[in-house]
Amino acid sequence: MVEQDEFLDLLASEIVKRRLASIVVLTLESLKPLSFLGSQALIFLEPFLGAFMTKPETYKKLIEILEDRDRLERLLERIEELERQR
Amino acid sequence: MQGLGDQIANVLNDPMAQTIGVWIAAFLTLAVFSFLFKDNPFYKFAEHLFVGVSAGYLTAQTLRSNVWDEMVKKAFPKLLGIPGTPNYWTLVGGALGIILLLRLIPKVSWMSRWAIAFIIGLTAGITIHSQISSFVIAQVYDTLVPLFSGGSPAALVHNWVIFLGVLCSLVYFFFSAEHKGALGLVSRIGIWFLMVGFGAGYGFTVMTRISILLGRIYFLLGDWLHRLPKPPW
Repeated sequence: MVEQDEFLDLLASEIVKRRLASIVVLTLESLKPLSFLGSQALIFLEPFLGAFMTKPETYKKLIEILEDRDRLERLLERIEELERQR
Repeated sequence: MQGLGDQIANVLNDPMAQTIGVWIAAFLTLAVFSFLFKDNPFYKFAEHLFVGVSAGYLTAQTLRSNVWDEMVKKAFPKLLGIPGTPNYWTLVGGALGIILLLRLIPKVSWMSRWAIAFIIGLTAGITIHSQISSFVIAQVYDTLVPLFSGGSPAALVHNWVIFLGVLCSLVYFFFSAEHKGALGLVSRIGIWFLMVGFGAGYGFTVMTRISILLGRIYFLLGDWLHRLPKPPW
């Protein structure tokens, strides 16, 4: 759980650092109902995309975030929080 | 004697089966719409069903069209009593497919990269021509339009908008000089063109979604509840 929270924090801070908060929040909010389908599509593509990845565990963590809408909600909240602090 | 496919088609064409199908479709439509209220078990059921059915259908379809029709039937027609000469090259594709599956065995998983390299190389080779002609050459060609003669006044205005839009937008992405003075003004106009383009794209996306929604509402009110008059055609 702590590891997941750390990953969420890292992801949120990288998004805010690159000034992508608005576009990421807009995209995730509009695609939130389809997040589970997206996570399953990523699982389906994993054997193929895995060949290009140096850190497959990061990919798995991303799938876990998309699979669970509560976690996705936490990511959005974290992005908004960091954006306010900027 | 009827084949299995014909028997299934007969069952599906039965009016009762079609009614049941409409009710299942209506239930699933409402289950998906229920997300507008909040996330709930009906929506979860619908999305899990969608994932399961898609995966199952895709697997069956791929096995049938790629493995059976394109590989086995073409490689061993005599064995299956089909007319035609054997084409053993299709087995190379099958071998590459098996190599791709070696990813599941950690010791030899590196071999799957051969198949992936082949797929990517082939896809790039096949698509590069169409991509360049449709996304580069066709767009450049459409930008080379007459500005002073060769069309109605309205067409010339349209051509000037294209010319200025492309020029100003390209200047916005020209970072070799500081965007000050005349260059800054042109780049500012470029931003406006880009924003109008993004706005039109967004509006088009919303319009597409609305048309999908209308399709579902027509289905619910027409096919399911029979509350709409039948179309004249």
